[in-house]
Amino acid sequence: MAERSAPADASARSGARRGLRRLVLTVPDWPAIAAAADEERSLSAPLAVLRGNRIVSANASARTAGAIPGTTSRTARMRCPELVLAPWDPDRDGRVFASSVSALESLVARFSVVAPGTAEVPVASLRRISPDETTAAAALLSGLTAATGWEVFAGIADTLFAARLAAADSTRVPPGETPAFLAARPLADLACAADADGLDDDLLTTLSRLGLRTLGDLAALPRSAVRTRFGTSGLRAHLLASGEGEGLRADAVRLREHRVEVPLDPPTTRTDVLAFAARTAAAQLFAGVRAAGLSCPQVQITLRTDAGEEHARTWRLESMDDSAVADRTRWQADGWLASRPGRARPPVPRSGDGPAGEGWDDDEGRVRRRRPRRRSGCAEAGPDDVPEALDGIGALVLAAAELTAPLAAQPSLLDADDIAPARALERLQGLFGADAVLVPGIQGGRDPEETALWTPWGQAPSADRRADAPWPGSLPAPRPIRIRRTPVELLDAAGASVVARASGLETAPALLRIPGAGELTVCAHSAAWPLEADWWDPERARRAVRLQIVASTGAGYLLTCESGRWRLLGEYA
Amino acid sequence: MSASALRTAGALSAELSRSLGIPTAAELFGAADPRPLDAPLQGLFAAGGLPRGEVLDVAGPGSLTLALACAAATTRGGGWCAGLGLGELAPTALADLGVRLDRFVSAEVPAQDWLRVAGILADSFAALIAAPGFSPTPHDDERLRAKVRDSRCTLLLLDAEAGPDARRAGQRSRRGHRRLTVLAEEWEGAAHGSGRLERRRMRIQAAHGPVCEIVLPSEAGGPAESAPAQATAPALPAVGESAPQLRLVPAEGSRG
Repeated sequence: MAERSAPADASARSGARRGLRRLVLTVPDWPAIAAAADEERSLSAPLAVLRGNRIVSANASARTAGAIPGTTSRTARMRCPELVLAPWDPDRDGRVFASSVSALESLVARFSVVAPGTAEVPVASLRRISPDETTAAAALLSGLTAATGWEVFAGIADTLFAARLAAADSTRVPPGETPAFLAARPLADLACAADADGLDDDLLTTLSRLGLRTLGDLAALPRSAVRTRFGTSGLRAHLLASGEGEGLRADAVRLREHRVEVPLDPPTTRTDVLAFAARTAAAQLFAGVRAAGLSCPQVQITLRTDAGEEHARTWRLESMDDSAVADRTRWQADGWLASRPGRARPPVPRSGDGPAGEGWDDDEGRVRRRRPRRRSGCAEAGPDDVPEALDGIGALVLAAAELTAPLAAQPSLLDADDIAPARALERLQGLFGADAVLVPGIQGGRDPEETALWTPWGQAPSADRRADAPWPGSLPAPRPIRIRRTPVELLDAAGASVVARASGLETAPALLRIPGAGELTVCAHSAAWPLEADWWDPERARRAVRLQIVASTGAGYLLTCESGRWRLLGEYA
Repeated sequence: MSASALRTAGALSAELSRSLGIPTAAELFGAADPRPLDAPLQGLFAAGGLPRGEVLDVAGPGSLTLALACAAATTRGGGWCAGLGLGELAPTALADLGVRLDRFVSAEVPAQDWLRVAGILADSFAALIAAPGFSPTPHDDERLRAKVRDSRCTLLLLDAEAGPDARRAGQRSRRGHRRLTVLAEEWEGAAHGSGRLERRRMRIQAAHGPVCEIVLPSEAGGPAESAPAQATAPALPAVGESAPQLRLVPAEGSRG
């Protein structure tokens, strides 16, 4: 009896944590498996995924042949001539997993995808299969393998982080023993939680330099000491290492969706009406969030027309303030309504014909003025178009995009200096609109305008292109400081346009004519170098020639020539 | 000294500086501690760093790059820097100059609100780079200077279109601000159509008088010392009208 009471005690002590016990299912070498599945190849043939000419993932047969992660494609091919190489594609990893993991739906009631190749199931939902978690996991594994043909590893522990580590070794950590299991793991294991939990690599480097070798070393430090020195990310690392990880994030937060939908009747394009509705809705949303004992630093605002057009944006809030949400709704609606004529133009030639399309071009983006013309165009077109509904915004949805414990959202001493600038910028946005204050970021690309990612202050940046991918042909330093997009004329001494080929310029440039800004005498120029991008895709393929010139004023310019037309890309101001 | 006495003294000094416009002893001491600068740029200022609470004019070609390079070390030290009306900047080039991107913002506002916005930003930002595109009236200018002096912010006003008269005016502009003037810029590396632009050599008349030569941007994109071997190269031609004959002075000897 005494023996039986010990685990019962442990589970009673963890209280709510018993319900949070996690089963993680992971497919080893997922990128390689996904590549094989996507191209419908056999899973047993050797296959590896390449990134930057190095293997990042290889399936079992490739690894036995010697094509291990880290080798170059040349070495790998030498060791294993029949090896199939696939390019690295994170989208494919996610897509294939999302489509196949639905096999789990018939097996368990609740699961969520943690990362491509890894899914998580709350152990509580396995009771339907079997009262014992080991047999339940075995049943789940065999069911999943039968449905997909993958080799799947499972791990069970008290926290998601520990369960992910356990899944790599296919182990089950008994209830209450998660801290002991974690204590023996090396500190570097935190890296697997780094991207998901917002820990930065610098923190791990710092901690290991301080002489911490295992997660147990970290967990042994007083939590308050770690928090005061390393802020929230240090606290997060400490929670993970001591096996208390998820807390609010995992369950309490997801238990109930905080979301308020307000129908607008009649649909409106007036931003003051929208802002008023948003203020009421925000009060309702925040009341719900506060009642749950949470705080909401990010809100997603969705505007929807009755025709189903949607525009969603996520905004970060300094405090849970109704009028801040109303402001942001107004800015978002302003921006969307102004840009809609451009985006909505394609349907017009389809429904009406010439004159209707031209009428749209003349308009300045004022939605209300557009209405009469639009109605006449649609009257000719067809019965399925409802002009009134298309124009106005018929529903406003506010959703809590991020929920945290109230203390985590409090500005702390560690970032106290950021409050005053943030207030000043918010004030400017209130005066001149969201786009008046922009924050720089870098995304992938080759030209200065492609790499620039300017995001309104307080809004989460969304990059179109990955900055960490290789971008052959991108511009080396020194780069132009000011971005320009002006079509220009580049003339030679005889007054004819300079012809650029991949092999170089045919004549030396002598004069740069910028429309509206006069003419500049060219006194020096660089070699013209070719840029060939995306040549494997005929739709995106681009060939250009780049050239730097120095004007007689001493100023430097970057030009590009695409299909015979010169364009100013940047200015070394 | 008791805590209440300290508070009274602090309030008194703030009151003095507000009503009389003269910095108190405590503020003089604060001004002696300038904002940090990258090593190649230190010769441009008498104190070896960016002065606090002052309006500086930056004139001549390449002034935008020069102003951003001057603010870069401040952002790396955690201070915020704002650009006002600078047009669309390239973040990659900003990063090359050493600007910390999460401490930089760019604002665009209508011209008539320029002064008001500069006042709002000066309150909480360490450095402010602005290109008003016109000359503020003396009254507005005085208000701006008072605001900047009060908030200890460093305001760099760009004047890229400065004509030859500005260059003749020397160390102080007609508005009485201290002034950095780029006298000449020369790109290297084009090699008559067979190379690419690699580095720009700038000759700058510093705020306290001497003429310095620096490389901005260098091959890495940031500022660099001008190589001593190049100092014997033939003097650079000045931009536009012929400037008064100026002698190259090494950066170290330029203090004072």
